[in-house]
Amino acid sequence: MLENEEIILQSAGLNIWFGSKQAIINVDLKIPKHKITAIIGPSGCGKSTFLRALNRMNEVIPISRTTGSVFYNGQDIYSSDTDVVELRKKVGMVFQKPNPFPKSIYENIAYGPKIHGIKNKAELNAIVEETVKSAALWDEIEDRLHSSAMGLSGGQQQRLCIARAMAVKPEIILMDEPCSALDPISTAKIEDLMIELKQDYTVIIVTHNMMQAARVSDYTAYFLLGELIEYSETKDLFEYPKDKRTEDYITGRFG
Amino acid sequence: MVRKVFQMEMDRLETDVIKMAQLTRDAVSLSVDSLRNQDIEMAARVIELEEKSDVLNIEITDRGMMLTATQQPVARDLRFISSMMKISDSFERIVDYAEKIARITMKSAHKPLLKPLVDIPRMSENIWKMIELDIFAIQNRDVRLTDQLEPLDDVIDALYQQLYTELLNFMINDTTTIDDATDLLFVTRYLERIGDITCKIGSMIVFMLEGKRVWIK
Amino acid sequence: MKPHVWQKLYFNLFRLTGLVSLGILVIVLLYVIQLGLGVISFRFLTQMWVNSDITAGGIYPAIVGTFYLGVGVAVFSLPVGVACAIYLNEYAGHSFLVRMIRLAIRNLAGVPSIIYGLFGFAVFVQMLNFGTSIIAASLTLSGMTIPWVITASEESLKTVPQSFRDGAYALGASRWQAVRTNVLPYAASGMITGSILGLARAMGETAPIIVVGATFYMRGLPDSPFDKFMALPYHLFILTTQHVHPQAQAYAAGTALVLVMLIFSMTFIAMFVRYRYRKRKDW
Repeated sequence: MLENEEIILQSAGLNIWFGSKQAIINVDLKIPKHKITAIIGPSGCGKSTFLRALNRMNEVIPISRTTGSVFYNGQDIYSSDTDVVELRKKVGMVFQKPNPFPKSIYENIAYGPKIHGIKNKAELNAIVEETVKSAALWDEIEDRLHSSAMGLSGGQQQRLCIARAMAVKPEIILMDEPCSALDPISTAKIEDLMIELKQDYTVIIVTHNMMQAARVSDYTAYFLLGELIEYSETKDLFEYPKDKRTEDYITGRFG
Repeated sequence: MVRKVFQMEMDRLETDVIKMAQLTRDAVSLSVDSLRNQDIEMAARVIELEEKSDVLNIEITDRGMMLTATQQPVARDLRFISSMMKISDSFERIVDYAEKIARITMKSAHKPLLKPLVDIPRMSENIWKMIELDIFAIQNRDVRLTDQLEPLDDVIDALYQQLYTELLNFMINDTTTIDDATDLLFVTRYLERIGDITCKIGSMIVFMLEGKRVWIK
Repeated sequence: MKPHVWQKLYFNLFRLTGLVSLGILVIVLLYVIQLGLGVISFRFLTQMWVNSDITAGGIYPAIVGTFYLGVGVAVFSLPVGVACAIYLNEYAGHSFLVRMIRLAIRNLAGVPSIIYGLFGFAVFVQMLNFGTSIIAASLTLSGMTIPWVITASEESLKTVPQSFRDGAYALGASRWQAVRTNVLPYAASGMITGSILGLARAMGETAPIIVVGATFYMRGLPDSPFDKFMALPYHLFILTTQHVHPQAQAYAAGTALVLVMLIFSMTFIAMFVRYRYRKRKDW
């Protein structure tokens, strides 16, 4: 029940425009800690835009404009004294298409810690080993840590990206359709990984695969045309949705 | 229309369940008539209907499973499919009872009835009405019809109590009637159970249409 | 005619134009080689120029002068060009000012080289009082080269996928950190290739250096950037058009050959860099 949960991230009156088009309309959403929250909705409903607002990645796009607030640890991340770099350390992101850097596996994972000033070899080694193990990838690659990351399979690359995100020790991990480019077995591995991850992190996942949201998440939010339509515990939303629009979407009658 | 095939299959499921309901309604009525008229041919038809109902129930269950496996139903679709399967099973149990009544007819048709049947046909009439209510509730997606189930079942329960006492008296006063009285006791018991199951079906219909759990009796 | 006959016709037509291009190059080379090869010798390449007798000395100072020019142009145009490309591609938005900057760069690339020469003469030689010198010529040629370097560098930066930048930002990198560690390393080779080609072009330019600083003869080698200098293109120009010695044409051709070889080797180095990079590239 959302009332009993500790809320780690919360949007209040969030509005986002790209040029003249409004992509997110007045969204208030509370994200519970140490849970997996899924965001579902048809193409163009704004779910990825909302996710990217949580670590201010929309600012990379020049024509974006955001009003409203997102509170993290009591502070509005959109206030002028927020350090975006620090924010992105705490709120990590995994993208839809696995994007390993064309460096070695080791260098990929060490990239984050290094830009934040960690130079000590031993420390970096420990971080690499720890995160690769947490990402359930160690067994597959422990003997080729220094070979190119581009030689890994799609599923391995995505787990590498998850390990890379974990290497900067975030509190929250945002995942933007992390499995949509992967085969079913890799998808299953990553879903298992997500469920493991929620013990130590908070996971927010955007997915167009409703069944994945149903399988994996504790809470599900349904977005339509930039608005939040319904948000509740996953089992409630999928068994007895309160809004007809939600039901039309999840039963596939909305086409 | 989106998910055309899915919708067609679900309509087919519903049609089959209605067929099942109609078959059940006819089987119960026919079984009581066969007893009242001591007509072995009618009883034999009831037994045929029971076989048909088994087959139909399996078809319905198979279709429900197939839809669940291949279409990933959620929300109202999931409630619909699972409820349809349970309702079909429940009707099938009713038809089993009807068959038992028919067998009693066949067993005792050669001798005169212990007493002319009055209450038993009245129970059967109410059951007919209740099953009709279930059918209309499903077809018209109208839960209010299920409100009428309870009073009808109350009558059935009262008749059962009455007949039970009456038959017990028969047996106490004249031990030669024990055999026949026991048969009638079973019949009336079956009809009482059929009434209960029909109410349970009403609850399942409410759950299917509204997601709420109610107890009709 | 049947379609496949048309196909063959077109294919051969296009192939022909390719061969024509190759042919032109070959003809020019052959002409220069044939005329000038006899003049090439160790002495020709390493001795100082003897103005009284063109057959006596060598074009060593012109080679040195061209080389100094190359260094000068590199020093002025590469940092500015690369930095400008980084600004335009990584930092700049789409404001009116930025659009004007881009328009200006495109136009600069089309300005005839003689006009750069006149500009250089007016500003560097006269106004800033550098006189006709290496530095004046380098600055002038840099003006020409900078748009070229910017374009080539921007193209290289564009080939780096946006996902590299996004990935770096998502890990908490600042923009400069992301560019420095995750974009530039992958754009570097393209920038190097483009820069070398730009330099090669600058070193072969004649019109600007006629106006701005080259001399046909000087004693010794230039001592400082403010000194006069000899250069291969200018030297060849004078030998071809102004010298009356019967063997002038031959010596001009010999100079041309040296210049061509120089340009070719730079182009070759640039292509080699690109080739090695393409082999190693795994994204």
